[in-house]
Amino acid sequence: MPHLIHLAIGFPPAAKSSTFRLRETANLFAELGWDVSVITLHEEAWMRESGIDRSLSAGVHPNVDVIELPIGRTDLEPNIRTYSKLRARHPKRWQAQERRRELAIFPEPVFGSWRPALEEAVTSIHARKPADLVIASSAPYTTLAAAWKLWEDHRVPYVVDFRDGWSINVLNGREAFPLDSPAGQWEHKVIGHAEALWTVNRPIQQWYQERYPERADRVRVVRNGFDPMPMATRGDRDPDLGLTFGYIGTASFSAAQLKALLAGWRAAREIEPVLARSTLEFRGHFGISMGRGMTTVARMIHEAEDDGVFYGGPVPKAEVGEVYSGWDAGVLLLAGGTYVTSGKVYEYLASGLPIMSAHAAEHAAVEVLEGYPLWVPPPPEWSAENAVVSFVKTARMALTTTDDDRRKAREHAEQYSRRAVMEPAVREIAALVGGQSQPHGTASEGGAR
Amino acid sequence: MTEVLFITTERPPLHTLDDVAETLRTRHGAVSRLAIFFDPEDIADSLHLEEIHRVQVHLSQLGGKPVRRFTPRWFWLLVRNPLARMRLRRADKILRPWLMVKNDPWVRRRAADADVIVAVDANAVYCVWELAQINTTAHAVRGLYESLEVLTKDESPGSGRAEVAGSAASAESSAPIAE
Repeated sequence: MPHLIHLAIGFPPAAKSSTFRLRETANLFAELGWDVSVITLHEEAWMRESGIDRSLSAGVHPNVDVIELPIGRTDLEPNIRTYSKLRARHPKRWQAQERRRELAIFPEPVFGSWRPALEEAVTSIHARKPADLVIASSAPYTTLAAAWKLWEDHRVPYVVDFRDGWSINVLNGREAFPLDSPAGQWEHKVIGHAEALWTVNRPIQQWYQERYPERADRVRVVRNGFDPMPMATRGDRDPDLGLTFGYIGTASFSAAQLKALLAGWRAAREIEPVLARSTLEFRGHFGISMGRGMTTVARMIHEAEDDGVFYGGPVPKAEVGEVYSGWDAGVLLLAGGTYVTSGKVYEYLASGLPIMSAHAAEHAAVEVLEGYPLWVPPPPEWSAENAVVSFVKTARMALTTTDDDRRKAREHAEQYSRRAVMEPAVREIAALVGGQSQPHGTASEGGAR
Repeated sequence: MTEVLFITTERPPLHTLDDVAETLRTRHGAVSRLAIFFDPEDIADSLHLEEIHRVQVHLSQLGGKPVRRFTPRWFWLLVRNPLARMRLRRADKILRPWLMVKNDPWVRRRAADADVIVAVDANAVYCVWELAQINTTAHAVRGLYESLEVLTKDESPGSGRAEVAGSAASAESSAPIAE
C-alpha cells in the first residue's frame, strides 16, 4: 500500500479556511488505497490561533493517521506567567529577537522555528514506514523544508500545494521577495524538483509559470471548491417580515471595507423599506484567544447593532448549511483583488442564495462567480455609496427569488464541488508516483505533462 | 469566591466585557473588577462588574500603603516623589500603567486577592506581569476570554485546582463549563 506523508498544518479539528482542502486531499488519497500520515499541530495550538471545530474530524477517512506535533505560535501565548521580563516590558524588542531567531532557521517569520520539529517528524515517519510521496501544503512555508529533507535524504517525490503562493503577495499583487533572497532561493530550489505545484486560481498559476518558466508545465490550478451541505427549502419571502443578509467566514477583510459596507447598509435601510425591516448577520471566528472580541471589526459590528447588524458567533462545519438556509442573501466581503479567490466564494455558490459581491471589481472571485444566476456583481469601486446600490439590488433579487431559482443556482455551482475540483489532481499525482490510481474525470487545470 | 481583576489602558469593547463578566459570574461564581486609566464617564456601567476603579497617581503612598509624617518612609517619599513624577512624565505607554498601579492601594489589594489577573489590552501586559510577581498564585493572562479559559481548565476533572474552584462557585455555576 503506497504511503503519503501530508504536511497539513491546519488539519481538523483546526477551524481554518484551509482545513477543508487539507482534509479532502488526505481523504482522496486514502480512498485510492493509500496510507496517509498527516502532520499538524496539537489542539491547544489551534485553540489559540484559529479555534477548533471537532465536527470536522468526523469526516476524516479511517486510513488517515494524524500526528499532532507539540509546537505552536509563541507570539499567541496568553499566559503572561510564561513571559520573560523582556517580552512583558519591551514586546517589540522581544519580537525582533524572536524574528531573528526564526529567520536564522528558515526564512519565514513566526513559523521558521518549526523547521526542526517538522523535519524530525517526517524523518521518523519515513523510518517507520517509507513514504512514496510527500505533499507540503503551505502556509506555513516551513513545511517545504520538511518535504525537501526527505527529498534530499531519500529522494521521496513531493508536491507543493502552494494554495496562495509564497513569492506573491496576493493582497497587493506584488512580489513578496526577490529570487536572490533566502526565501527566493528556497522557493527556487523546492520548485525545481517538485512533482507538481498546486495553486488555487489562474492568476497565481500564471505568476509561477512566468517566474519559473522551466517548470511551467508542472504548475496546476487546484481550486478550493465547496463541501456538500444540506439546504432547506425556503418558499417565497414575505416582504413584511424583512430579509436576512449574511456573511460567514473569518474577518479577513479590512476595517475600511467593513466601514463602507455598514455605512451602505445604514443608508440602504432608509431607501428600501424592506431593508429597514431586515438584518445583517455576521458568523465565523472574529478574533481568537487573546484577540477574541477585541478586534476592530468585531467592535464595529457590535456598534452597528441599532441598524439590525449582529454577530452570531462561529458555526461548526456540520451546521453551515443550516445557517445559509436561514438567510435570504449572502454578502461576499473579500479582501484583495486579482490573486485572491478565497474558499468561501465556492460555499456561497453552493448555497444557491443571491450573492452580493462586496469586493474589488478586479478580483479572482469574479471568474468563479461569472454565470451564477443570482449574482449582484461588485461595483466599479467599493464605497459606501456603491454599497447602497448593491444592497437595494440584492434585496429586490432576494424578494423575487424562488426555490426553483435557488435550485438552478445550486446546479450551476456543482462544477465547483470540492471533490470535482480536487480529485483529478490527486489521481494524476497518485498515478505519476506509482500509486494505485486509474485515470478518472478531467485533468486538473494546467495541462498534462 | 473566585476573584477576577481586569486591567485595561484603553476603552474596552463593553459588550464583550459584559459578556465575559456575566459568564464568569454564572458559570464560575466569580466576581469581576475592572481597573482603568481613563475617565469612568467614558465607560458605561456594566451590570456584571462588581467595581470599576480609576487608577490614580498616589505619591503620598508607598507600596500602596499610606505613610506617617516625619518617619523615615516619609523622608524617603520627599526624595522619591520628584523623581517619580519625572519618571511618570517620561514613561512610555507600557511602563506608565505599572508606575501608577504600584502605588494604588485599591489595585494592590485587589491584585493580592485575585485568582485571575487579566491584561485586557497589550499595554496592560507589563502591569499584569509585575502584579503576577507579587501574587504568585494567581493566573495572569492576556485577553478577556482567557479568564474563562483558565477557570474552565481549573474546574475540569484532574485539575489540581478543581476542588477549590468548584467549592467557591455559586449555585448558578452548575451550568456546563465547556467554552
